[in-house]
Amino acid sequence: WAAPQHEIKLATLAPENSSLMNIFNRMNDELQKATNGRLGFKMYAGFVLGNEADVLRKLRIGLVNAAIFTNTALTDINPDLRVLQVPFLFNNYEEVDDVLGKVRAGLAKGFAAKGFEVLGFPELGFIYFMSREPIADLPDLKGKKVWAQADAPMAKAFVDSVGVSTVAITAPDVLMALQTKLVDVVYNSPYYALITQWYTQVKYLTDLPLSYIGGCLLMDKKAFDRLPEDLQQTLREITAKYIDVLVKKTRQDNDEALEVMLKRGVQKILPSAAQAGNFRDLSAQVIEGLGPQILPRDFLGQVRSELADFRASPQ
Amino acid sequence: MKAFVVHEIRHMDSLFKRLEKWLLVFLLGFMIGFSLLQIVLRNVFSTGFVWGDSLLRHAVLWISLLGAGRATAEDKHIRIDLLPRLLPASGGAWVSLLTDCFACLVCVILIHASWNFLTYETMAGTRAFGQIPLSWLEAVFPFSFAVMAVRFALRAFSGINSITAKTQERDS
Amino acid sequence: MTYVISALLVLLALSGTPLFIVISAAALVSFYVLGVDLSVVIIEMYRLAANPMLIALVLFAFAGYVLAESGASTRLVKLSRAVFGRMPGGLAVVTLVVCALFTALTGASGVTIVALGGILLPALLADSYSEKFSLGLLTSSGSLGVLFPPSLPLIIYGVVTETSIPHLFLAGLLPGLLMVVLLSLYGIHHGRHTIVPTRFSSRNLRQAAREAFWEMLLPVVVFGGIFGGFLVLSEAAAITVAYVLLVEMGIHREVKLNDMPAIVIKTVMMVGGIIVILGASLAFNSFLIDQQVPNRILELMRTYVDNKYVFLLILNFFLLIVGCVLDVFSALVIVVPLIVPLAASYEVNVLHLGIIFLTNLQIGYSTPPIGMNLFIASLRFDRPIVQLSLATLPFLGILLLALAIITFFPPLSLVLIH
Ligand code: NA
Ligand code: NA
Repeated sequence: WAAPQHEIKLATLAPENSSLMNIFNRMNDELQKATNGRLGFKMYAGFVLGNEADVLRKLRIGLVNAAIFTNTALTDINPDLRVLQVPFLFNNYEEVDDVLGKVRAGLAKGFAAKGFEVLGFPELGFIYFMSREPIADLPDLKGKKVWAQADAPMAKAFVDSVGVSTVAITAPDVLMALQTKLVDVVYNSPYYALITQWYTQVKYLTDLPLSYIGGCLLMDKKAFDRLPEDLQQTLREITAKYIDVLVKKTRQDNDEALEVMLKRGVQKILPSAAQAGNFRDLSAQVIEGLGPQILPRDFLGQVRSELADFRASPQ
Repeated sequence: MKAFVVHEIRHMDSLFKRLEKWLLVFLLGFMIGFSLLQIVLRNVFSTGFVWGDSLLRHAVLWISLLGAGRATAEDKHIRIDLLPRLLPASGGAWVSLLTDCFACLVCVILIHASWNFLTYETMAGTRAFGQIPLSWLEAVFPFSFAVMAVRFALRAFSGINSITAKTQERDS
Repeated sequence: MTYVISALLVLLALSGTPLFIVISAAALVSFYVLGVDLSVVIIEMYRLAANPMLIALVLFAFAGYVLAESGASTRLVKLSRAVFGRMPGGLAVVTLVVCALFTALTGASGVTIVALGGILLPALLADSYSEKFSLGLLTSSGSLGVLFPPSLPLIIYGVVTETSIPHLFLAGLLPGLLMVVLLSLYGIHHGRHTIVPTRFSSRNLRQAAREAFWEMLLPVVVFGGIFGGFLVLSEAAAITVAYVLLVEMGIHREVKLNDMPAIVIKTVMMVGGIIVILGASLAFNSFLIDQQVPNRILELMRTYVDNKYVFLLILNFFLLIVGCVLDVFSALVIVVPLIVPLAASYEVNVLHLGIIFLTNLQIGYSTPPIGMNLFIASLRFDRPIVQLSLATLPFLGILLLALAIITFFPPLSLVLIH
C-alpha cells in the first residue's frame, strides 16, 4: 500500500510481531481496502513511544492520533473506569460482557467531553494473585510482601486494609524482586505473567478474579472530526469489528497461558465460597471509604444494579 | 543603563546561587532520608508509601535540572571544543560569544515548550499522589531552563565585555 | 535545508556548545518542521522521571564523591599491593572485576563510572598505572558486566523476545568472562612494564586488610541487601550512602560536615550534566522513531543482504551505532523486535543474538565520539572528550576482538545451554 491520503498514527503496547499486532495489521489492511486507500493506520508497536502516560500526552499534542490504553492509565480522565476495576466486582466474563454492553455508551460520552473518540473497548482481562505460598483466604495474605502498583488508589486501599506489607516497584523490576524474595505476592493476567516469565518465580495462582482490567481504543477527537463523514463511519465499523476479534484473542491467550503455567508446575488454588466471600466483603468495605472524586457513586450504583439484574435473571 | 540592568541580574543570580545550594543540599538529603525511611517502614513495620517511589523519581528530576542549571553557571557542561582550540584567542572569544547566545536562545525555546507542556498537564488535571497536581512537580522544567537562559546570557555579556575591552586596549 | 541545519548544528557542537543544547536544538528543529507542538520535547525529557535507575545513579554518585574525598583509595591500593605482591596488573584486574560485578547490578546505566570512578582513578594512578591507561580502563569498564546476571538489560531482552531468562544468563556467562579475561591480560601486560612489584608478606596483608576493613564490608552490604531480599537497587544505593557517610565521617573522620555542600554541588552538577543529555537524546530519539528510521534501515538490510555472516557483520556495525546513539532501554524496546525476525531469517539463534546485541551496546557506550560512557567519564574525571577517546582506543580494540569471537563463534554463547 502507498501511504493513504488520511493516515492515523496508532500506538499500541502490543509487541511487534505478536498475535495481537497481527490483528491490527489485518484491521489496517481491511480499512485501506474498504476506503480504496484513502484511510489507513501507521502503527507504533511495543513500548517505543514510552509508557501509557507518555502515549496519552503524545495523543493530546497530536504526535499520535489514536492509541490503545488499559483503563488504569485513563482513570484520571474518566473516573468511572475505576468502578469497573473494583476488586472482586465481576466473577466471570459473562458478567463483564453484560454490564459493559449497558454502560459503554455512557463511558464514550464521558470521553467525548474530554476530547476523545472511543473506537472500541479492548481488554487485558482478569488479573489474579500469584504467589510463592498459597493464598486462599484473607489471612493468608498477612505477613506477605505484596507488590503494589503505584498510582492505583484502589489496589492500595484494598491491600492497606488487609494490613500487609506492600512493595512499590515498577513492573520490569518485579521479576528480580520475586527472585530475591523482595515480594511474595504479585498480580496480573496469566498472559502477562507468561510473557514476562513472572510465572517461573511463583508456585500458586489464586483462581478468583481479583479485578477486571479493561481498555479503550481512543482517538483524538480533533483528528477524528477532520475525517470526511463516510470515512468516520467506515473507521468506526472496522475498528469495532477487529476489537471484538482482539478481545476474543486476548481471552484465548489468557486461557492458553494459564494452561501453560499449570503444565509447568504452577498450582491453582480455588478459594471456597466462604473464603471468596471474605475477599468480596473486604472489597465492599474498602470502597465505601473512598471519596466520590476517586470512585463516582452514581456510576458505582448503576454498575451494581446492572450486575444484580444479570445475576438474578435466569441464565 | 544596560550595564546597570546586567549588573542587577548578576547580583540576583549570586543571591540565587546561595539559595540554590541549600535547596540542592535539602533535596539530596531528603532523597537519602526518605529512602532509608521506606526501607525501615517496610522491613520493620510492614508498611510504606505507594507513592514514595514516584516522589523520589521527581526529586531526581529536580536535582538533575537544578544541577544542570548550576553546571551552566560553573561551566561544567559536556562540550567538544575542537574549533576554538584551532583558532587564535580573539577568534575563540567570538566563537564562545556565538555559542553562548545560541545556548541562551535554545533555552528560551525550551522555556516556551515547557510552558506549553505545563498548560496541557494542568488541563489534563493529572494528580501525582494525594491530591497534588502533577504540574506542580513538573514546574521545575520552565524554572530551570529560565535559570540556564539567564546564566548563558550573563556569560554572553561577559564575552562582549572582554571583547570590547580588548578592542579598546588595542585602539589606545 | 535539512543538510544545512545539520551542518550548522555539527559546527556549533564542534565550537563548544554544550551537547545537551545541540541535541535539544536538533529535536526542536525536527519537530518544528514536522509541525508538532514543541512540548513534545519536554514530554520526552519528562520520561526521565519514570526511570527508576536514576535514583540509584544520583545516590551512588554522591557515595562515590564522598569516598573520593576520603582516603579510601589509598587504603585500596595498599590492600591490592599486599594481596597481589609480585603479580603485575593486580589492581587493574581488581578494577575490571569490581566494575563488571557492579554493572551486572546497575545494568550499564553509567552508574559504575559515577560510583567507582572517583575512588578507582586515584588508586590506579597511585599504583603507578599511566593516566592514559587508567582513564581508558575505567571508561571502557563502565558497561562491562552487562552480560552477567542479574543485569536488567538481559532480563528485558528476555521479556521483549519471550525467551528464557535463565538461558540468557547462561548464554552471557562465557562471553562476559571472555571480555573480562582479555582485558585483564592487557592489564597484566601493561602492569608488567610500569609497576614495581612488592614482596608478599602476610603482616602487610593483615595490616592493609585491617585499615580497609570497613570499605571491604561495603560490597557485602550492597550485594547482601539485594540478594537477601531486603532492598531494591535504589534502596541499596541509599544504604550505601548512609554506610559510606558513617564510615568516612564517623570512623575514619576524613570527611567533615562542612565539606558536604561542596560534595553535593559536585554531585548534582555531574548528575545534572548526564541527565539533561539523556533527556535531550530521548527527545531526538522520539523524532527518529516517529519517522521510523530504524525500521527503514533494517528494511534496506533485508533487501540487499543474503549471507548470514555478512548480515552479522553489518548487524554489528548497525548495533554499535545504536549503542552510541540510544540508551540501552530504548534500544531494547525499539530495535530488538525489529531484528529478531530478521535474524531468524538468517538462522541466527535468538539467545546468541541477545548476547551479540548486548555486547554491541556495551561497546557502543565507549565508542568515540558519542558513546555515553565517554561523556560520563569526561564529567566525572574532568577530562576532555578527545583525551578520553584516545585513551579508550586500545581497550576498544580488545573489546572488538571479543565481539568478533562472540559473533562468529556461536558455541561460546550456546555451549552451556546444551
Ligand atoms: Na553501569
Ligand atoms: Na548511549
